[in-house]
Amino acid sequence: MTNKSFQSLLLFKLQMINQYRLNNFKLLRDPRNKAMLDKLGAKENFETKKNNLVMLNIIVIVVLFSLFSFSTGYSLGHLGLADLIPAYAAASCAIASLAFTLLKTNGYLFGFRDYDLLMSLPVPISSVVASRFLLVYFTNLVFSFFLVLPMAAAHIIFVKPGVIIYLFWLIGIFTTPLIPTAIGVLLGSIVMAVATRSRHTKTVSSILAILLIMATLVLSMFSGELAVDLEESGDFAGMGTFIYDQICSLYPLADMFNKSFKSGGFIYFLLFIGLSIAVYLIMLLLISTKYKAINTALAGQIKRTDFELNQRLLSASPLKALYRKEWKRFLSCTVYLTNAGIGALMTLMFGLALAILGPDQAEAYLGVEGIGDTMNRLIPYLLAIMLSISCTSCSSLSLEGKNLWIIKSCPLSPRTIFDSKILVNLTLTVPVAVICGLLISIRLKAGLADTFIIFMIPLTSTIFAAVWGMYINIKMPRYEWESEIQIVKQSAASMIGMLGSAGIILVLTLIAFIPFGLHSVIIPIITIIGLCTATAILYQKVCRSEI
Amino acid sequence: MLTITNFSKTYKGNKKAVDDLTLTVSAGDIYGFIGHNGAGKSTTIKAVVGVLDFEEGEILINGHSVKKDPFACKKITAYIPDQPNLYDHLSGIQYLNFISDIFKVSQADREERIRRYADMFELTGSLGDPTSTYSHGMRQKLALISALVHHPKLLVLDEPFVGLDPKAALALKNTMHELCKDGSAIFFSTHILDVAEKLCNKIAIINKGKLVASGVTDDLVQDKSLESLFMEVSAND
Repeated sequence: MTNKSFQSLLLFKLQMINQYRLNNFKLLRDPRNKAMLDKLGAKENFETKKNNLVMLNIIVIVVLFSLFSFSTGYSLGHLGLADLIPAYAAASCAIASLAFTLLKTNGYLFGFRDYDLLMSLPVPISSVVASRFLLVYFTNLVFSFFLVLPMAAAHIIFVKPGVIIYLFWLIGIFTTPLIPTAIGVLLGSIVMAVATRSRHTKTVSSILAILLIMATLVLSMFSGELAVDLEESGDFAGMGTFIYDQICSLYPLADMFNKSFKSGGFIYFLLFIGLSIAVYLIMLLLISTKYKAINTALAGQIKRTDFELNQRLLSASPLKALYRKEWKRFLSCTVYLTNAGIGALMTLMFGLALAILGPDQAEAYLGVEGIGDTMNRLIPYLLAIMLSISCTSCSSLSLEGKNLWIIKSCPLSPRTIFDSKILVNLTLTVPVAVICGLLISIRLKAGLADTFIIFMIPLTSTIFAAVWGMYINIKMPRYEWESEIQIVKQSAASMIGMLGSAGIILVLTLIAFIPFGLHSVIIPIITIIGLCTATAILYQKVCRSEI
Repeated sequence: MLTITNFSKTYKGNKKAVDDLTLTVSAGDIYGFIGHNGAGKSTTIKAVVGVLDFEEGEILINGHSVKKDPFACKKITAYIPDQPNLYDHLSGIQYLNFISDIFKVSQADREERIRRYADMFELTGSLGDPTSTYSHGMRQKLALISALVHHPKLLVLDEPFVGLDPKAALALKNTMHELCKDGSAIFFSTHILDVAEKLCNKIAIINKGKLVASGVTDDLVQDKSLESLFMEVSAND
């Protein structure tokens, strides 16, 4: 192993320990550290519970995605399209890896706190970049495992291949995320490079990142829609060719990966592996040349020294001041903005699409044609679940981080602080709920009762999600972090806050569906009452909490 | 103004950071709090300003208990930690306006005070920039202005002179005297013994969590220097 590779791996190991707090897991689970655990006391013991919750969340997500992935592969096999499974697996993994890399580039590669420390070490820049690349690749590898592996299982069930195909799948799991990771990092780096030329670096990078993610999602939806059109014809063989062509036009490497699994595909497989590694390494070298320049530009913001105190300093109440501060925090952090904002943006797009295209087309997009009136009943719940994922409050307290001393030493009641954070969440989601409610009510020509439900289900859900997020973050704060990404994407509070509220809304809805049936008016009423009650109870608990 | 009575703080694992500390800071006092690294200075200061919870002892600010009535205590107290981490996403002026809003400083007062202190610390020209672009010294200056903008009765500072240029350090010393003349009290920790000896009318020395000397500076130092007194009481322990 070369010195450079060794350094990269060493840095990667350190970053993994730091990013995922692996020492905590090790320390808190090793019985030999009993004495140490006793010394650390109750707070750190609670960390074990948090770690367990994070693990539980990860397991639930992995199981759900794996099931989805397996059922997709199994359906293709059942329709006699098992040959398409490798292409489908490669494309799914590529889209997921690309979207998540775009979200992660700012924070993983740029704008992280220990940048100065890393760059001061006697290590080449390419080793630093390689270690950060590995960090992104490793996270994407998780997608590969729960998207590619289940499809591989479905493929094996239907094709019953020889040993060599097992080996291809195994190697494929590790190689499929390489190119999407490299492309994602390149696009993310371009975004950062463009953004640093502006005075409003963070705003520009946030807008560009959101646009890229939206483009990726729209692209994946577009391919889904084309497949639906053909499914209607019942021509499965034709549909198979069409899907294959669409996937390969979107991601040509899927074609190469797919051909590897056919007889004489060994060459294609070698080509796929070689190309993946080559593109990954070329991107790494390319970004290494501009890495320092981009980070320097990010750190060295334009300074003005000509400020004059001739403006009126408008006064505001403590709540309003906190709210303004919190809102600026949200807008200033690309990871925070994209992660929490994407749900609201997707809801808005969904609402607009529904209003423009109508429910029939929406059914086609969702692959549930012909469900008629049921679609109208489902719309408020779909809006509610999508909106509840836009949860800023579940990270907001932890994001105080090293600034915690400011709010703790100020004459502020914890309730005022919590209210300001909840209000920021509602500022993001309530207008979307109202706009979507209005557009959809008009498009569906809904009566008074239906209009009430279309407005109230998303509204009560989003208020519940904001309060739930706050409650979770109060219970699971984490003030020590190096990069905001650790809080916004990887913390227990963030995962439970964002997915928990969506889960609770789903469970409440199902509870109401089971005894009363789909068309009963009582279901939304029960959901609204249930959400209001849960919100009131949680808010009482939030108000009584301390920081 | 500040009364600390039998204050003890034990961290998890039975490590006693501060042990039975008692001292009183009166209005008009510039009270220096001296000790080695890890002696318990920051722990005491954080407990005084309500950042750190404590179980043993009592801390009163202007007669209000920090434990029972923290809101009343914080309203008249200003605190600056040794590492003034400020909101990176706010500009200097936005941060000062934020603190003024929290302490309900009137519009006229905040404008007059910000102008005065920003000019004094030569920070006016940079107030429009985000605090993320500030050097350590500039952050320290901004934190000082934010502490002074609401005219606190008790100013609690953790190593306030670290990172300040000589001109700003002089401006801070003058401001401390000015505040004390107006009836405020200042309680601050420092490693710079020369500053403590010249600036403080009272000092306390803490060693391994225990108060080893306290009182009027001149009475304690007598014909020695504060440095030799500090070495003497630290070595005796």
